[in-house]
Amino acid sequence: MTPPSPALAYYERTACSAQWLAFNRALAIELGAGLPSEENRRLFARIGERVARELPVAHCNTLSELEDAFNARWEAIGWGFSRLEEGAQTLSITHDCSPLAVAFGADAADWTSGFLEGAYQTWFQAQGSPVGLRVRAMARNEEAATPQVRLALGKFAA
Amino acid sequence: MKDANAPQEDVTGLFRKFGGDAAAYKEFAPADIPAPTRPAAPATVPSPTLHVLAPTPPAPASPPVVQPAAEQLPVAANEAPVVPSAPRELDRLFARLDACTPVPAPAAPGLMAHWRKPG
Repeated sequence: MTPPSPALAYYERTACSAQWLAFNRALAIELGAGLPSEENRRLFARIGERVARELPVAHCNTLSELEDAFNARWEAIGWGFSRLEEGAQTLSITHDCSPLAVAFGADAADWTSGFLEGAYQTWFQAQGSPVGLRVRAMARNEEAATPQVRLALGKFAA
Repeated sequence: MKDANAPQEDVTGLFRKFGGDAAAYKEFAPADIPAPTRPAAPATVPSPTLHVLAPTPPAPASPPVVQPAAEQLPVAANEAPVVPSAPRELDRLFARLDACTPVPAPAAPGLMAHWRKPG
């Protein structure tokens, strides 16, 4: 196993305070043992919706403005940063350096990304996104040793 | 049967026994304190101490609060509810994505999702 880069090591040391790390990890283990991943993902999505309502973003005209507005909010709470990229069928959202992976552990990463789904969904709907467009986290790259979550806004088959 | 003047006689008897002027005796009544001069209840100060409280009886039932039919998603407070005259770039993007054929949903992680993880 290769050691993490200095930047990644710094992120892992600072992304979650020692005061909450053990608590959050234990919480994640209990949630993972007690509920299916899909239900935990929905739970975290609801938490993300709630946080996004607490941190509303201004009405934006362009994708670039929206990205800046998102990042101003994430920056203010130390939750990393995101990039928005328009694709043919979906809008890609790449979120880097959120504290989720450190705070709750790698084993919970499959459902903690629900937090970002809920937050982005709420923000996009506040911008006028139709209800048929949903934000979904994409499959993780197990090999990538970066605290990155890839999501997409689009129409997804049920 | 108890006499209605018994309390007054008791007072007279007490003064007779211990001395003093029973005619000058007046029953004590608390003075009316004007509301602003009454001591205020101490303000609640947030404290980092966790107080474990005894269970309290349930509050009396109150009439149900009527929720608005549809919840308005918040936009930042410095923004007035402006109706843009021309479609925004974002509106066009949303409309285009909404018109697309649904794409397959990302696969949920399966049983082997953590196979390669150490420990």
